[in-house]
Amino acid sequence: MPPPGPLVEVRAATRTHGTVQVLGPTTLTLRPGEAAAVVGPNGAGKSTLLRLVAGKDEPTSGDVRVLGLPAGQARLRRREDVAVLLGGLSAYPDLTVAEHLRLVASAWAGRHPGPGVDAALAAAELERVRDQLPGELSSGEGQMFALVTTLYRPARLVLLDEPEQRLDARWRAVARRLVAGALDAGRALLVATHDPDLRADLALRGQEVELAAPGPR
Amino acid sequence: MSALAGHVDDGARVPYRRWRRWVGSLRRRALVVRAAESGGDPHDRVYLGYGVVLLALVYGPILWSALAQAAAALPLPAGAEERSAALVAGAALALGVACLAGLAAARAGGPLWTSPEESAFALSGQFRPRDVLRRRAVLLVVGAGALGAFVATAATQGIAPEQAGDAPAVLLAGAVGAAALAQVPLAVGVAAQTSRRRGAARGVTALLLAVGLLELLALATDAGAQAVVLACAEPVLGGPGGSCTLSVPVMVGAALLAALVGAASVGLVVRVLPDELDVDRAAAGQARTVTAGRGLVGGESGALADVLGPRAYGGRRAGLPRRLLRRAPLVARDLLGLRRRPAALAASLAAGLAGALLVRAGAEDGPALVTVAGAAALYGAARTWADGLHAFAAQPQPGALLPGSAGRAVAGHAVVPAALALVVAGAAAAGGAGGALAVLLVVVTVLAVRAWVAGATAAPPGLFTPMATPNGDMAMLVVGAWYLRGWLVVLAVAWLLHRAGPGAGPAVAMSTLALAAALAAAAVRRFARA
Repeated sequence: MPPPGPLVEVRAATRTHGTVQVLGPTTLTLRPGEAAAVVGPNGAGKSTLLRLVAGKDEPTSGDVRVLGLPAGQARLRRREDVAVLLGGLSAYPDLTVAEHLRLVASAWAGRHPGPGVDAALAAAELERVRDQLPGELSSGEGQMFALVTTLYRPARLVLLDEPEQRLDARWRAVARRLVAGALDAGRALLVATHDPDLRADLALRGQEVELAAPGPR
Repeated sequence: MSALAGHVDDGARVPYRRWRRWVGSLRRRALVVRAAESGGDPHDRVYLGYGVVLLALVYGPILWSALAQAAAALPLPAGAEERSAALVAGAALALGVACLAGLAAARAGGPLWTSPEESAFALSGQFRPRDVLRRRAVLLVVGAGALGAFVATAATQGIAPEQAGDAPAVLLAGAVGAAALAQVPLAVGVAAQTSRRRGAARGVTALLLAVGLLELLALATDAGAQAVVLACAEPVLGGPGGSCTLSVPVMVGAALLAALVGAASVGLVVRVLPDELDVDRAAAGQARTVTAGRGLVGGESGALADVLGPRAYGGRRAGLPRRLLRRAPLVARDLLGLRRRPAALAASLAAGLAGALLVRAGAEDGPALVTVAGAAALYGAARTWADGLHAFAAQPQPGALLPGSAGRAVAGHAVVPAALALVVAGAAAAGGAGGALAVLLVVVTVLAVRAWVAGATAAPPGLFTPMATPNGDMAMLVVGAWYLRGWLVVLAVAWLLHRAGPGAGPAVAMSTLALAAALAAAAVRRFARA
């Protein structure tokens, strides 16, 4: 049986804003169940690479394909297969934490593999704030809520931009567990991170994409 | 805050006015230095003041005439008593709406304003809040009085031109009375800035709105104006040849009442409320407003939502309805959202019903102004009904957590507003088919425009391209029109529907429906691209 086709193919993709190259030539292939940690200093283009893969931006040169389609088209046609946490969670201000998960589970109906809402909240150690609105959460709780909700919706490919942001050591460990759980479930993960532990975990399950430091401007 | 301030020995306080003069001199000096460094004119502020006065002198009379014409177009009943009742109802309603604006201003950091520095000094007890705020309170009192007199004289001129023209005393009396009553919304706004009197401010607003609406309802249903009318404006405003129906003592009593209410409001604003004001909250609200203003200038219409601060949600015990959640999750979500804002929902339903009734009345041989005002009320009310859609639009990736296309999500979020709009339209059209088509078309337009407006939260960059005209760069005017595009489209459609009249029939209906479909399709396309 041939190996499954790649979910993400980035071939020598670059991105330039005006005269500034914000992403140098980058190549990457990601198959189902694999992980890739995108690492590099600030300004190296980690978020830019994720935006290209999410189809929210176009490469200046090179090619970015997701699920066999150009990334821009995949964003419109295969949005059910790609979960994205880039620049904040798409939450409703008048629903509580638990109600968001319940809404996601119901909206995906038979396609949602579980776990149940209570189990997901317990795994993220968010039971204490289950009845709070997003606007009432602390910054760390908000970040953990965003992560668990993004991972709670079904998807073949998950893009996470620095999921460890604003999390303390205990919650970073929880975040790593959640990411590992998503990999165990057979998803492919592309994660930009500064967290060395998460980077090591992801490298064990796939690859590291190290982006070069930005040059002088 | 006053408790905090009480802990400081009076001898340790800094004289506020001296500090203020010192800050003022520093600012002037910095301005001169900056102007010298950049080669600019240090008298820019003088020119700005000159420009403002010039604009007021040029456009003030135009605005006054426009108000008078709008008042002249008001559909007032012919009978003297009914006419008086309608005027009193209108005045109560106008005061209630002004009080609502005062409550909104309190959430946005006004009407009394402070800077973060003043707030910090006042909270640490260095300044008495009343020292910081008293002169501003006096300025607001004068401004509110002038505004009230401006509007009242224009209204008097529009409603009773003969009376106003023949007897300037009538105009003057109206102006003085309105200046006194205009202090009420101001007092309500300032009271809402204090935690102790916020409830009372809301109560006064609700009372004024209820009196105005009930009286209008009594007039509309011919239940007898005398039963509700508490005073009579006929002696001041006159009728179409009608005579005064009130005795002199009653007139004197009404004038005294207005004077007493005005004096009490002024006393509250200048002497009582500044000591109770939550200056920290006011400074935070003001900072939010400044940030939102900068966002608006930069083309970010979503910034406006931040002006009023975080919303308070009730109904936390309510949950997502289980059965509906399985079949129509977004409908269940939107219903729960509305359950958590019961006051806003009730107010929007009342405003929507009033709007639909006005549209119907306008379509049944009423003036165009009534139709347009009704459409505006419906559009304003629909903002609350479409809360789910607006929350969806404000997400970084709209619908990222949900399956299906953007169109499906928009359709899911459109169910609740459409159902509420149809309920309101049905209630307004009950009892007769006349005007029902106009109500339906306006409702469909309102819903489509809501979706269209929600679909774009940032102004297209092209709008900021300088637009040279003989009057200067008009680019900001275009940007302003973009922010108001929803209102402009709804009002224009309502006006065109009224102009077309009931005889235009299918052609107008088809055109309106085609426009609504195009707007909804544009909204879906934008959501899909987001």
